[in-house]
Parts: sequence; structure tokens; C-alpha cells
Amino acid sequence: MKKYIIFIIFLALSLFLQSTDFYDDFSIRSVSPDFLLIFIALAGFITGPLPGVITGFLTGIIADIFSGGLLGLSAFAYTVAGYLSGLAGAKIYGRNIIVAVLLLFVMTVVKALLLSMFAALFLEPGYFGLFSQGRVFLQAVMNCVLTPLLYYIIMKIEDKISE
Amino acid sequence: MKLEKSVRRGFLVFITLLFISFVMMGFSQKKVTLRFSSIAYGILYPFQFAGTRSITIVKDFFMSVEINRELNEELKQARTILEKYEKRQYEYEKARKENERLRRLIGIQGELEYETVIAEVVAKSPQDYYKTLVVNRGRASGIEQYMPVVAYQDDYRCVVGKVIDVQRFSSRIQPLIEQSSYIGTMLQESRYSGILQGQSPLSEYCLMQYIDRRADISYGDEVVTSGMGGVFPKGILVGEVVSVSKKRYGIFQEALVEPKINFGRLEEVYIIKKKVVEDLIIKMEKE
Repeated sequence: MKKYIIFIIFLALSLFLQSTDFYDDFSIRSVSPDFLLIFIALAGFITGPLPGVITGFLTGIIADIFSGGLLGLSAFAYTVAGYLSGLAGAKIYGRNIIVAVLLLFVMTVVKALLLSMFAALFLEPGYFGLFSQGRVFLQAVMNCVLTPLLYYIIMKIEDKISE
Repeated sequence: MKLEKSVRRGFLVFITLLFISFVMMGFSQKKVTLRFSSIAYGILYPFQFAGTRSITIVKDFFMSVEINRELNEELKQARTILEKYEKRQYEYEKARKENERLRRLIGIQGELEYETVIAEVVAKSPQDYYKTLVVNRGRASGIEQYMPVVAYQDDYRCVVGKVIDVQRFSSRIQPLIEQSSYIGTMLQESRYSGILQGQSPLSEYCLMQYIDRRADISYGDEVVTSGMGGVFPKGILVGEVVSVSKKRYGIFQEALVEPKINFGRLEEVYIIKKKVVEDLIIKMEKE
């Protein structure tokens, strides 16, 4: 239970951080890391597919409500991210940081692909622009760089709580 | 065995939630879901406001020393500029009176002035695929859907976007760079009109379409609102042309426009209390 509370706190903080202009300070070429995705993927990776799916869905719904965009769009993408990360964690979990980093890279691309696909389907075709000028890959690299640090922090807090 | 069971249960929930998300997306176009989204946002807004405000306070606290130094520097510069502007003000007043007199003389009615409400930007969309801003003025301040939003930056009054969702104490603004934003615009010099649309979610540029092929457009040409479309009053600065694309065939040409407004520096906006013809806008959006 305590493990879930850690993720809820981190996700709430990420949601607020991404809603402020402070978030833009993290940007390179107007691309910022997706903290929500990192924590959802780590939640799935550490706690399993079921918590990953629920975390992804609920976070996505709140993010959709906050952004005023297409309701269910982020929920769909984050649910997939939570499930796939949970599956990867359940099958090859061994506190392997490299797997977590690789996972984040793949999840960033998958998320962008799903967002583009459904936004194009329900909104405007031009939303494939998420892939323009390799920005998604830049975001994937940024997510990968941050993952070990955030993974380490979560593990440290988890160990402290377990003690 | 236990792991397999957990994975299987996870898969069932996964499929169910994917289905729910998909259905939500489908219904998102309908009014009923929009209303649900608005209600949900109304409940969550105080938490978002509290969260973003506390992050801003912490950030401001650490930056205050640096800001203080910068402010002192700016104050010196501002005093010098103020002196210059005081001189200009006199010239301006003289020109304005003369302009008014000449307008009266030739019988042209002056530009309509609308009441404005100043609002503070308190949050922005946490998702990069859909850019919106949240301001701390809502229905209680007389804000209505589709009201135009402008801001003052570097002595210019420029277009920010329009109000798309109104709560009691907050409103959501769709910036002009958002892909589903369409604004009736025209070229300041040549007076040729077109429709300005936002580009990809990560682009800060807009595309001005349907400009008459005969228009002579060059780099740096100013683009202003045309007043067509029923949202924006005529003549508000939108941006500058950065490139022009003219195909070999067709009757139109396109221009890439860099908005004058810098969204990174946007803190306060002015919502123009202009009544809009809602039916007309809904019809246009559908088309």
C-alpha cells in the first residue's frame, strides 16, 4: 500500500509540475520530459500489470481533464504504457535499471504513436506533428536520462519505508 | 501461478479500460461528455490552482534575490524610457486629436472599444499534444465562451486565443498556436485576408491559408485580425510572416506566421468582453 502512495504523490507532483511554466525550464528545443509517463511506467514496472493499468488510466483521465483535450486520449496511451511496463516488470523484474531505461524509450515512442493516431482519428490529421523533427526521440532520450535518477529515488524511499 | 493469475487479471482490466478510453474519445465530440469534462474540471481546478500556485511560490522564493537585482537594473532603464515616452505622449495626444478631428470631418466612425477583464494565467495543459491555458477569471467575472483573449507584450497588443471553457472562477483558453484554432486574419499592408490555423502541437508557428494568389507577401509583413469569424475585433496584431508558399497551380497561397505573442513569457491576459454569435461559431467549427 505504501508503495502505491509513493507513486500517487509523485504522479500528483508531476501533474502539477507539468501544469506550470516552471516545467518549460526543463525543455530543450521546446521539448520537455514526460514525468507522468516515467512514473506510470515505473509504477507498472515495480508493482505489476494491474496497478500499472489502473495508475495509467486514472492519471491519463486527470491529465485529459486538465488539458481540456480529447477525453480518454491520454488515458488510452497511459493505460497501454502502464500495462506493457507491468508486463515487462512481471516477466523480467530484477531491479534492472537498464530494462527500465529501455522501457521508457519504447514507451515514449508508443505513447506518441497512440496520441498521434487517435488525435488524427478524432481531431485533426496534422497531429502526427508529434513526430516532426525527431522531437519524440528527443523526449524519449530525456525520459531515459531521468529514469535512473527517479528509479533510484523511488527505490530509496521504498527501502526506507520497508525498514 | 500467482504471477500468471495477476497478469491475467491485469490483462482483463487493461482491455476494459482501453475500451472505456476509446468510448470516451468517441463521445468526447458530443456535448454530454464535454459537460462531464467541465464538471470534473470544476472539481479539480482548486487542486490544480493550489498545486501550481505553491510550485510558483517556491520557485519565486528562490528566484527573488536574482529578480531583485534585475528589477533594480530594469528600474533604471524604465526611468530613462519613461522620459522618452512622456515626450512621445505629448506628440501622440496631438496626433490623436488631429486624427479624431479629421475622422469627424470625413464621417468615419471610430474603432469600437470593448470592455476587458484582466486575468492571470494560473496553469497550462500538462499534455503537449493539446495546448491550453487556464486563467483565474470565469463566469463570476462575466466571461463567456468564445470571448477573444489578448495580451500586451513589448508595447504591442497581440492575440492570445479565445475562451473555450468557462467555470465559475476560471476559464480555459485555446491559444492561437493550437491546431484546432482558426482565426480570420489579413495582411496589414496589402489588406488581403486569409484564415490562420495553428500547426503541429510542438510548433510555435501558425499557417495563414486561403490568401489570394495575387497578394504580394514578403518576410516580416504584419498579420492582423480581419474581424471576420465573429470572435476577434478587427485590427489586433497576430504576428509576422516568416515564409510564403505559392504552388504552381491554384488560386490561393499560404504563409507561415510567427505569432507576436511569446507564450513562454505570458503571465497576464485581457479577455475582451465581446458578445459573439455562438450559433455562427458552432456552424463554422462544424464546417
